[in-house]
Amino acid sequence: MDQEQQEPTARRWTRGRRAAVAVGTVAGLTVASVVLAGLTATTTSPVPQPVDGGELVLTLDDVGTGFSTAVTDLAPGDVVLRHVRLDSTGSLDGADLTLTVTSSGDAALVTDGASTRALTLAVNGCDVAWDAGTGTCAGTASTLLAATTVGLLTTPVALVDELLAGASLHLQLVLALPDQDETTVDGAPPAETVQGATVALTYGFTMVQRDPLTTTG
Amino acid sequence: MAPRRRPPRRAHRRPAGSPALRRAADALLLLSVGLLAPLSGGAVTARSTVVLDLSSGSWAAVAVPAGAAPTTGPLALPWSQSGSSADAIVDVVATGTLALSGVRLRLDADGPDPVTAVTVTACLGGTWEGPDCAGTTAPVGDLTGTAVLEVALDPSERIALRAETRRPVANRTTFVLRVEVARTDVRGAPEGGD
Repeated sequence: MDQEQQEPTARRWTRGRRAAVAVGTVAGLTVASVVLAGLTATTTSPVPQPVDGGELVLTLDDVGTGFSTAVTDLAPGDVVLRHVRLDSTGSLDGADLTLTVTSSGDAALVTDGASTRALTLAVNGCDVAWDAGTGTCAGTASTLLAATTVGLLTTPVALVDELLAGASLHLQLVLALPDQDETTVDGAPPAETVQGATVALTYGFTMVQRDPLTTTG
Repeated sequence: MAPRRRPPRRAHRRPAGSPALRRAADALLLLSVGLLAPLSGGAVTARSTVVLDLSSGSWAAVAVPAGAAPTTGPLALPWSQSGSSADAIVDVVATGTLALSGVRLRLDADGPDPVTAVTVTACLGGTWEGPDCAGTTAPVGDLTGTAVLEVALDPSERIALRAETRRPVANRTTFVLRVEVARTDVRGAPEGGD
């Protein structure tokens, strides 16, 4: 077979190989995408190399009352402390833990008007479990979120940069209704009032996986 | 059988294939990277949500005729004339959900008789039977301006008051009793709160 006859065959073979490589690359990368951690492994061993996808799991547990009981009859100046523990129970380290709070109900408790009237939320951390009975931290406490009007927390706010696999985050949530004067006359509250209002607050804690790693070995 | 020869390899040879095929292959690679990057770069998230129901309390009180159900609004004192004097028996009822440490009473007069002519006395732990108190009397005083009745009231609890004047009041003056409850009258009000 002369060179002119060989060349088209070689081009067809190469063209087919490129297509196969491209398709194979797509398939390979897609499979890698499905693996939660984006982990990759390469082996030249004749023995199949197992590759396990990591898991990113965040669980929340009440400490003491936590979120298990509603808050009722809150008066201006009242402060409610609730304690929860977030656990990273997956195999992957978590990062960028954020909090959002959405609400439904009376806006008077959520959104400030001309004055500061609505509920505020602050979040404190402790490197050991909170004493839910006293609201104290026997270890080192830190402020993760300064008091913020609840209505402003619909967009995520950062709490911690990382939560390693197997680690726990001990949180104290400080709900407060700012002190304010309201005088009820003959049984009727003023036009703008925080009295007798109800709201359902949905707390969302979210974290993402830690940065992808390239491992060698 | 002669061994099969592999096609000759060329060093630094530009990949073969039509430009269209090369562009397609490149596009597929870019697409693959685009798919992979966001997933491995942070799209994996874990989320935990929980709902907390919360309600605020209310603080309020009203004045009503003795034994009557509470209604919203001021109360015109229901005078009972007796000779040259008159009295009115009323209840102050806590209508909010929070316990009160006291209420503020204000008496407005519409007529020739001055408010200073009216004396108010509370009957703690009992009710008025005419001029007699079945409990313990506590003077509230002449309601000139606003007087604070410092009596703790749980929600729905009521306290009996007796207003008395030594003057005839029929058809001359209407006395309207108003009850105000400020934040500082509510349990747990912080020191210095207003």
